Amino acid sequence: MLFFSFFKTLVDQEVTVELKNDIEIKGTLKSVDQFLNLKLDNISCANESKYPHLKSVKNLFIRGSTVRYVHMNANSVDCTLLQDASRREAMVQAQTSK
Amino acid sequence: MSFFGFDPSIPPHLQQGSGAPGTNESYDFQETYDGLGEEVDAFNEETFGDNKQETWNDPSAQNHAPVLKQNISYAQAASSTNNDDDFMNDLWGTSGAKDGAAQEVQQQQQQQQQQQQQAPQEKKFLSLEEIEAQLTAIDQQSQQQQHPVHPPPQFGYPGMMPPQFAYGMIPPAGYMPAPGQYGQFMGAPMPMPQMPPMGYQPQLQQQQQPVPQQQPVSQQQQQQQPPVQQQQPLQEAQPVVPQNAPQNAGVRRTSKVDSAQFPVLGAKGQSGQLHQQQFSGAQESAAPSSSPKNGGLPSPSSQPSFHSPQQRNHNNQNFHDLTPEQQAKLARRQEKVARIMKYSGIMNPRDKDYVTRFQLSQIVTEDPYNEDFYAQVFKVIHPKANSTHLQEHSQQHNSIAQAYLEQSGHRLGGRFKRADVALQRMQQQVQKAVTVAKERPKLTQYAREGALGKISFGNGKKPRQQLEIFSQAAQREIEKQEQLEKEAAVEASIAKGESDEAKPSDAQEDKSEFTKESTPVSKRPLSISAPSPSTSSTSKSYSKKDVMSILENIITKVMNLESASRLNPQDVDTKELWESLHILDQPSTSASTISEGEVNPFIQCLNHNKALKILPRLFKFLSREQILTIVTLIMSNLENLYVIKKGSYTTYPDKIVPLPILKLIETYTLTFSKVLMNSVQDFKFNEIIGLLVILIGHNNVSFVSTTKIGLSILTTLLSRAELIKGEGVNISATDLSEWSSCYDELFTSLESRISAIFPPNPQDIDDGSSRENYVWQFLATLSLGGKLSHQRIIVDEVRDEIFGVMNRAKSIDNSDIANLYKKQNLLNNLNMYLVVMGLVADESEIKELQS
Repeated sequence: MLFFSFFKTLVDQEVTVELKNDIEIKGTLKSVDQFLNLKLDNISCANESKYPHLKSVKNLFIRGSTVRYVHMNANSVDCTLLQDASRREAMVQAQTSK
Repeated sequence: MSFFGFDPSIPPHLQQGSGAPGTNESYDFQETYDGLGEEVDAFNEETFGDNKQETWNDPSAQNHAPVLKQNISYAQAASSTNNDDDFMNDLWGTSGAKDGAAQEVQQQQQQQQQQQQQAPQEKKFLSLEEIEAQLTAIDQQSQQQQHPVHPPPQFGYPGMMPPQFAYGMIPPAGYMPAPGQYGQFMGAPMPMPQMPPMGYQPQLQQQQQPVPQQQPVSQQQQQQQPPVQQQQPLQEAQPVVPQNAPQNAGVRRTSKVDSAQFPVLGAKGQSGQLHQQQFSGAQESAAPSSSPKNGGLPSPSSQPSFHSPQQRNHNNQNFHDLTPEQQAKLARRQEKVARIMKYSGIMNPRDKDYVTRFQLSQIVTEDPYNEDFYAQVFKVIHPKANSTHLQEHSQQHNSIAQAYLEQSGHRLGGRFKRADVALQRMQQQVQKAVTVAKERPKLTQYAREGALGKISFGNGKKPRQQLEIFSQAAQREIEKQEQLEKEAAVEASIAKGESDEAKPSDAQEDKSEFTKESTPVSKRPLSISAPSPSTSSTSKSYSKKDVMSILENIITKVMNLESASRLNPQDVDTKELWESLHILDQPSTSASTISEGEVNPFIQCLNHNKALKILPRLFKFLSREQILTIVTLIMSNLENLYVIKKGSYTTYPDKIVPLPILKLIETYTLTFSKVLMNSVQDFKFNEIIGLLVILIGHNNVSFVSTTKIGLSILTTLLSRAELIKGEGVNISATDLSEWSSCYDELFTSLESRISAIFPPNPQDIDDGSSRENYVWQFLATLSLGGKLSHQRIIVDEVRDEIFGVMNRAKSIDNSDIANLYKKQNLLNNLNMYLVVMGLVADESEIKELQS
């Protein structure tokens, strides 16, 4: 749930999603679910000349499993908090696995 | 052809949902009529019986029967001729009830019989063209028969099924999403509700004021455009009837719109209404579909295959005024809209609710601060950014989606006081879903015979892993570790209980004299001042791993305390945290000859960035005495800290401190120095003297003074002591004499080496760009505490540096505007020191301060 929780805070921010098939899509993150499926709005394709079929698409839904990277603005990440959150997650997992 | 008249070309959701069961049963009926019923029925139950009882909550599938029953009286149902099957009665009856005429039902059945004669093989859903073709055929027949009562338009479609299902199956044929969908979910303007009356009025006017050409044109159309013919004759023969029927439907619709605009959550009756709406919408749209032709527009562009009713009505009103070009354009646009509309409304509000609920129930949690920690705390820490998002969202009609995200980590509405009714209902449902899910036993993995791992099942919170491989070795390791921990805990408690008995064991080699000397934390920590170095012979060596696990443990404890204090700020038990710090576990001082690993673990922790970062949060939970103990420990171990040990330029041949250490120093100034400065505020005069004494006693002061952090620690302590002395409150004579002897000791250890506190390259520490210079700050503080003789010695030793700074200031040209501030900074920093002695310097000379 950590990444889900993390991505929730990125809603309405501009992100660049790099897919496993090399398409890079920049857009406003509108929604995310626990599978890290993403919904983007106002998208533009970074390598549009290579993938012109995305030219007419305005918003899309990306299945989480096809995402390779999500690039985001460093300012929108609270690193200390993220460290804490990951520790917490590890703690919870350690408790449940016992 | 499939056995059940199942059309594979129909989208699967329709097959599964509303379409399939109903459709099949309607076909069933036909076949029953033909005497084939029993066999088919048996199959039907087998195939589709489950469908209706499934927990899968398809609204349309579940709700058909109840809806229909609501809307029909059994008398009406009985009046229809063929009622060998109750369900069938309901189906037929509904359509009959809608128009309030059982006769029509009969008539329709007649028609169907005729149809069957014409197309006996027809048993599945037809493409629209086929339907149109058949319509034509039927219509011609019906015209010939001259029925006194015209069939209601919606029965005109063949296919042996009640029109509801026909429309459900073939969305483009005037299928129209329930209006609520648009309003609620898409945020799009809701075009439909006012539509039907508007659409009809012009049409009716046309009919009531007969245009001369109308008759011929429509006759033409009867030949040219077969699909329309069925309705046309009706309208011409009895214009009043069609007028009433659709309008009624329209009225009914608009009256229901209100309730439909809210998402329907679980109310069966309401969903029934929704369906009806869809149906009635379909009926209406069926009628207007013929209207362009009624209006006498022979242009081929007026036959765009299927448009939303809105489009069509629009068409009606304006088509007369348009040039052919515009009409073509309009047609193109309509086609485009039709393409877009094709899939809109595939899910009705209940479907969407269902999905939302399903998703919510998967991720909703009882404990948001643990499971959704990042998002929850982020919201608190960065409230501004968040609030603007919320506003945006409400503007974008995205509230449900937003609520979904917001709520997912939340205990259902506690914070959402303004959550609207729909949301609250959703929350209730989710709550139910959650409790049910909890009660259900969870099967997380399943070991298959011969498989290399176990097959795991995912859930919402922990998506499925492909394989869960758990090595036996790892398992044993964990068990061993737990065993050890238990033993250690037992030993620790024993050791604490009988502290005068040494307990040599491999887990905790020594609880150490250190512990014995000062186990009560409140005891004056100065008693630590001289831990005997003999302990080092038996002390435990901590590996890096040990230190890291201790450090992680500390951080965990801090976080636990933080969440505990959020719940109950008054009552926080810091005992565990204190124990996890291992402050008293292992005495060590900079002076004692021990290896790196034997240093007190907390001191070792302080070499790591993350320990420094947690310091401010850690100190919040500690009492003054505890902090004093820690600071005492640090003072006695200064040279064991990397930041001191490696932070002096003197240890490097090229006199330059390497970058990683510089970074560490930077972190120290940002964290440790600040924490120390805050803590020192609470210390008493004699405690500060004690700290200085320990610092001097256990460290090589002249070495410590060559490091930035060491010097700033000295500055902090000295300046605090000066401040307290200046206030002059509660200072005993003994304290004062202790202080002066302490100062003398410090000065002696620094004397003749004071110039060494300046790094060889002064530019490195102060090129004038910063407003502070820790070296001059220290000298100022030192001079402040000293007598005149001390100040003379200091000035003598740093004379070269003073002139050095003046020269550097001088070298910055006055015309160099960009760097002029550096000159000023250099002089300011220097003057901070000189002012103590009543002097002031500019770039060329030193003068006496004139006050």
